[in-house]
Amino acid sequence: MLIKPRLEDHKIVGFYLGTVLVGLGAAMGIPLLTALCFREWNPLLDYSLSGAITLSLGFALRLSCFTKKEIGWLHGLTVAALSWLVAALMAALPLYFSGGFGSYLDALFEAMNALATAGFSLVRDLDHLAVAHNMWRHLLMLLGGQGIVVIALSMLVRAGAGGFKLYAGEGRDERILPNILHTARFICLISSLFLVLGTAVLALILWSEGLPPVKALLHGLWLFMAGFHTGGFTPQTQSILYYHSWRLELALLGLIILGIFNFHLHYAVLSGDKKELRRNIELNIFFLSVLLGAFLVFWALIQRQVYPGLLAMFRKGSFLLISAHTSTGYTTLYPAQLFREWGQLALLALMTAMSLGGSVCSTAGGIKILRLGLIGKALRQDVQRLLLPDNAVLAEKYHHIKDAFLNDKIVRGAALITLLYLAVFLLGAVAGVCYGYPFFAALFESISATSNTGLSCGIINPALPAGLKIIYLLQIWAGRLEFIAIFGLLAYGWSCWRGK
Amino acid sequence: MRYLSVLFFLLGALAAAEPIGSAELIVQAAKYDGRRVVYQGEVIGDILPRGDKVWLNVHDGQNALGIFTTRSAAAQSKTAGSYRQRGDIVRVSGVLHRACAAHGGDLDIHAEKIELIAAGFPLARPAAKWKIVLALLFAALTFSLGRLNSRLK
Amino acid sequence: MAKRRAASGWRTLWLGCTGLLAELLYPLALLAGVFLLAAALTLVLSHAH
Repeated sequence: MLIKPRLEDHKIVGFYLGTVLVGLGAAMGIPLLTALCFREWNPLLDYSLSGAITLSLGFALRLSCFTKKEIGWLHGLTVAALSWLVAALMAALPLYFSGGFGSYLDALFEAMNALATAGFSLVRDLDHLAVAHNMWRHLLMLLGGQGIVVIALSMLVRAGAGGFKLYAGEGRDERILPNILHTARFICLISSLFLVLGTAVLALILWSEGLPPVKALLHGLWLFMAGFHTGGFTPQTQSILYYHSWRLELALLGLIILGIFNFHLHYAVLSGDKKELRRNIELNIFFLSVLLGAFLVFWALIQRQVYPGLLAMFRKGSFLLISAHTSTGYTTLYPAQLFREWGQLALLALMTAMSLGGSVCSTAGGIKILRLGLIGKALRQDVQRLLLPDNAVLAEKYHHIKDAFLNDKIVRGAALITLLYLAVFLLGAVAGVCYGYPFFAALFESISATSNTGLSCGIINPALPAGLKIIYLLQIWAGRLEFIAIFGLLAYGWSCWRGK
Repeated sequence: MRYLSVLFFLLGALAAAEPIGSAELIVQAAKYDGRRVVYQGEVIGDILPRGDKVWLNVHDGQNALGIFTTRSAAAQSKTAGSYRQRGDIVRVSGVLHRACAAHGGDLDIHAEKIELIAAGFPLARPAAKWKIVLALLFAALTFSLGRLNSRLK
Repeated sequence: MAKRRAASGWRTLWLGCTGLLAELLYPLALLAGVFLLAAALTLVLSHAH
């Protein structure tokens, strides 16, 4: 029997959404200060107004929905699902007020891409965008990557059992440390450490490649924020091609690979357990997966004689492949070039790489390596079982931070989510075909959206039909939440309608 | 007869001088690879030095292309586009490379000549008055709601 | 007590720095592997033609 959520349940959801909005509104202070420093008066007004609207809404929700009732699992999932939508709606405000987007839908698309660390952009004149607006676009990638929910939790809410339910709803399904507050603060600490070091390295490289010091620092910061969180936004329309720098490309490759490490792994290695780098199932599979993808990409590029030599082919091929596999979306090729010159085999390799993605509990998108590993091990176990007598007991182990035994529940969960991803990839492709795009291109774009990569073959641009924008937006949102929280939201909605 | 051939030559020269759009250059890169092309657009961002040569990025409204050229040729352009500035409009004549061997496979133009077509100018960005009014109203609302919020237990 | 805390602080920093260097080895190893693969394929396929 379905129990209909009561007013108190709606209040819990409303209260936590309000908390998230207060955090988001406060975060608008950063681009506001940026606008002040660079004397960009219109952006200053954009962030003052948007910040005030967001904070007002957040405070209003907290006031009207204040309740002492404890947060439950379904609430957590619902809040996680709605947070992304609500945060994107509000984060789009300053972008819309800037006048740099064709419509509010375009600004919303940009905001969702930023928060979900996808990376498609519909901005009309990126090369003339204000510093404050670029600060916001890239900061949103940091905020989204860290998980809006986690940040709001650690700053505004006391620790308790309720906190974990929100965190798990986010799509990061493992606890690093017992106390949710400590987990959130730990994620922020590691990320801050990387932020300082990463920005310094990138800024130095950019300065040596000819950018003036202030711009080198800003671009270094933005490329770090978008790179480490495997987002893929850049401050210029040419993406990484703008800089014409192999040093930068190399540094970014290092950064985005570190960005797909599970946060558990960062914790383990940075606390002294370096052996984890060799034993971890996800890193091992990722290594092999990249090599396999590289084999296919280079084979295709050599056959088609796309590049004039080994170095050029390595530089372009490895950058695009790793950018795709880590679901970052940085590119050193024009979309039309990628699609016309690389050929179907190389593009299939990229699509597979995008679908697989990175580690769980990281900012990467895609099906996730651990799920692939678990399904692979389960297959191996089933094959072995066929060869053994019926009453033989077979236990398969895998190492992920600690040793664990494979069980049916884990495998079922991995397999179901994988199937959901594949289904959404296909549905998105069909939607693209309905709008008149060729199937292969539509499939590429659909996979890129659902896996939150952001590499485009040319379909996603400001002239994209509104209906398809909404479809891709939903795919990006679903992919970010790895579906679980969306089912929570649907279950909540269903029980509102049909429950007693 | 001689008059006709001179006329055709002039027409041909004029046609050759028409700039080609970036979209065409990218999509038909294989066709233009290694050939002399004319490209026109706004200089954006930064001029990036590389020894005695420089990189310019020139945007023609559809895409930005990387232009590799000598410092003296690049000196034609003094202003690059940014938030406050419309950059110089330049006409670039040079050889297009679909996948430049010298530059890691990048699509670029090695420019032999850069002509300044129109100088850049500062962009006026006047503050919108309605934003000021609304911002003040919402700021007041935020402040009062915030005070009430701080009393929540 | 303060000395012990300071010692543990230095140890945390040392572990963090060495851990970070160890982490950087992974992308380096990966890129090296990809490069070797590219070189090998180029060699093999150029001989095949």
